[in-house]
Amino acid sequence: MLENIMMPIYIVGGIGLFFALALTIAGRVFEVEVNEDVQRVRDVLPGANCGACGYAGCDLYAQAVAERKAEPNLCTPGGPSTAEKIGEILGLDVDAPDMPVLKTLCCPDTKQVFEYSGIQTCQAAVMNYMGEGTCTYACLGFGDCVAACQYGAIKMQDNIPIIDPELCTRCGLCVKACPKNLIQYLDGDFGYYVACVNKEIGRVTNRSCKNGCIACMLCVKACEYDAIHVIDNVAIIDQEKCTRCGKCYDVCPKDIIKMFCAKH
Amino acid sequence: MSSETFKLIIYISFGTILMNNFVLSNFLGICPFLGVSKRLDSAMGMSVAVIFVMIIASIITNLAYNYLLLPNDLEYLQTITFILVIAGFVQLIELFMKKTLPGLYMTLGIYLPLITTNCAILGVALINVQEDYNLWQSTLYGASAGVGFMLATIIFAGIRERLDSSDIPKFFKGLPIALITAAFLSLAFSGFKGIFG
Repeated sequence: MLENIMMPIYIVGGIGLFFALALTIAGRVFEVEVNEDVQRVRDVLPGANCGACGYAGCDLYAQAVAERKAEPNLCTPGGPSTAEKIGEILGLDVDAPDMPVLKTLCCPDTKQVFEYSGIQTCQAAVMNYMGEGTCTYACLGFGDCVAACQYGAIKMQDNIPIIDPELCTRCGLCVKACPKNLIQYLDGDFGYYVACVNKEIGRVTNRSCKNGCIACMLCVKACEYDAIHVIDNVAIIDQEKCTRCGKCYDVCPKDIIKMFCAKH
Repeated sequence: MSSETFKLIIYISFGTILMNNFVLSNFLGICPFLGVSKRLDSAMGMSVAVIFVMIIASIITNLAYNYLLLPNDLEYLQTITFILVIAGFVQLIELFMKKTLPGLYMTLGIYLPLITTNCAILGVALINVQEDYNLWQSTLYGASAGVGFMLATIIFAGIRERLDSSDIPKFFKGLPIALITAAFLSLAFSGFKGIFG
């Protein structure tokens, strides 16, 4: 009777014990030296596996950094603080990464053409004659971007989304959520941008929105560095050529050339 | 080789690869089948790992069953024992591979722990016992089951890569269309039933 109970215990327990011992011994014998830096770098990375650094995941990026094959400042979600920590671990001097800023290129002052009372999202509203306002390019203000943001970085203010650069991780989900493609990446710590994307000619734009770019060319003439061009009836600032002199900001008759700053 | 043995080899291998395909007619190993079939190269890596683990599992569970469980009248412990020996042995091989064959480990390594505890592997071991296969027969059965998995997964991965670039209604995108495709593939494979009369 006792044997009937003990035999299974012996056998299964024996197998378990055998493999436990075998694995322990094998673990010692076949030990592979792992670069400790890889693990430590991996620990300070956010672990989002977003691929913004150009590697397939945080593990591979950590390995590349630890082997000095990649720059330590490529992690966009981690930002400067992660780059600094990686620099500390590996004993490198790290340049803070270029952090693009996300801005809404719109500051609507439009009139209502009709009243929209359908589903209260931009995605739905845009299907009805591109929204209820006079400008078909303008922000609809239902806040699809606010809903898309996982970090609570976007708030609606005066009917346009304001993105908090401190909370923003530059993941770009809001860029995808906007049906009018108004949210765009702007390079640099600070600079100027044109807060309008209306591609109509000036006369039409002027009628639909008080804050629209009318392609008057004043900013293009004011710029000494060939950084502003009017393309499709809307001024666009080339952030690479721009020296942040601010002359376009001063001449804009509509006051829609605005400043952006990575730290508020 | 006698004609009986030859017949048995043909029966086990073709029967398992085509007629009783593990994924498409036994519905074992659906999880890796859907999980890694998005891209052809990962499907390939996973399939090779499955073949490898199935052969090893067939051999080791056959030995464990015949030399440990049967003499002690402990057939009812087969499930738990099989899980234990397969998991333990694959872990051992993984450690060994990591040290001595790093190249092979880079391609197979990530798939080995995923597949070890899969139902398809345990299925191979249990069907071997059910069918009363001896050592070489169960090894052949394990290898054919793995090749069957490879066939199904690679065909499926090829179809899914095509699906990615085709115009599918939004509500069908991703898993829904994949499952429908898998159903058609399974139907197609049911045409092989009855090959041996």
